[in-house]
Amino acid sequence: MELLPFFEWAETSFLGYIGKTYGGVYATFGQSIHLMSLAVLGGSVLVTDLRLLGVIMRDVPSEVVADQAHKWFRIALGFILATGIFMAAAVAQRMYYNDFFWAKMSALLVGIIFVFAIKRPLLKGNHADIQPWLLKLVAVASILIWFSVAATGRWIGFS
Amino acid sequence: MINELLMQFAEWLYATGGSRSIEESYYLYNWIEATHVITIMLCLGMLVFIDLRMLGLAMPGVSAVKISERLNIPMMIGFVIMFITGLLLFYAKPTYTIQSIWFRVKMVMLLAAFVNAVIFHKRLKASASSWEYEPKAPRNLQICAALSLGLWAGVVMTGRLIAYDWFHCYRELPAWLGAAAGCVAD
Amino acid sequence: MSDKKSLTLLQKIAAASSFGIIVAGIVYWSIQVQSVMELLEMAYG
Repeated sequence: MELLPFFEWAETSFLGYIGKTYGGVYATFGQSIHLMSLAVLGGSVLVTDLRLLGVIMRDVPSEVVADQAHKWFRIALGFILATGIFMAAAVAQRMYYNDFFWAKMSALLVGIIFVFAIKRPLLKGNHADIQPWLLKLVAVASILIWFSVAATGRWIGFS
Repeated sequence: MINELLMQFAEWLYATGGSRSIEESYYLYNWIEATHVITIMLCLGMLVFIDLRMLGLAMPGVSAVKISERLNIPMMIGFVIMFITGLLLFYAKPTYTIQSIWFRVKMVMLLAAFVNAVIFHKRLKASASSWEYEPKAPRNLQICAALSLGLWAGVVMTGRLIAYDWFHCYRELPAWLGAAAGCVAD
Repeated sequence: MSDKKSLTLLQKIAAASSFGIIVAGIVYWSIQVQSVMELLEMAYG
């Protein structure tokens, strides 16, 4: 699928225009909100996964933690995707040619599918019915994938 | 006067070997910065959930005291990493950073957040046993939690803006802004 | 492992995908670390 035309269009779109022209808007509404959402998203991931790993809140039922954290994960994801699209649109062509951008997008896609198609359905039920090693494996994979999204994302800024 | 002293201190730091080697190294500054930003997920992530609990917006069925106690340690581990990386980032670019209005505002907000946190903990200790299973904390603690969220959002935003030199001293600035940013006559 | 029940389909998929993510992650980050080390060696000798 030839994506370059889409990226070229994105940069000339209204969204891309705003981001390019108004650096202040880009920095405050794009980057800063992206980072604040990162705090909530990371927090929701870590609260759940560290609980599943038995590192924190061992005296709170993991079902409760997972449910509540997921609520905030969804909200944070919404903001992070919106601000991410806004930021990428302004520099779309550069992103198209950036390896770390594609690494991040791949990890992001994997992460989203993993959360909504696998982790969440798995954790919606009774956790006592799930093998402890499986819960821990899922937790480690989750932390790894979201760390990778964040790290490759940060590295886009350096490349 | 203070601005002159701060600038002298920054210039002294700038001249040290450590400062030069971090800023001029191929990757070191970038790694320190990346660590600083990514650790937001741990430090502020935990903090956000404590504040959300106080506001009744997360885990309302769980004891507020329990959440505060359990999430405190990972938050503090994150904060130590933030603090150390933050110091190193400042150390690598002291003259630029000390004259950044965003950095200065960030430091004020950090201080306010710290004071707010101390007040919060004192109030929590004093009152918690009476309401810890309520979904929402009492009014004064909710205010602390909301303030915390606001201040830390400000810390994140101003932190991000440090990299932008729109209001740096070599620009045409109104006198009050120049003074606030720490511009000194050359 | 105390549970003698076999894994449900969802659990099997979860195990496989988690394992896959972890392996892919280890491979990717190893490659990144290695390429950085090579670059530093070139830059600093």
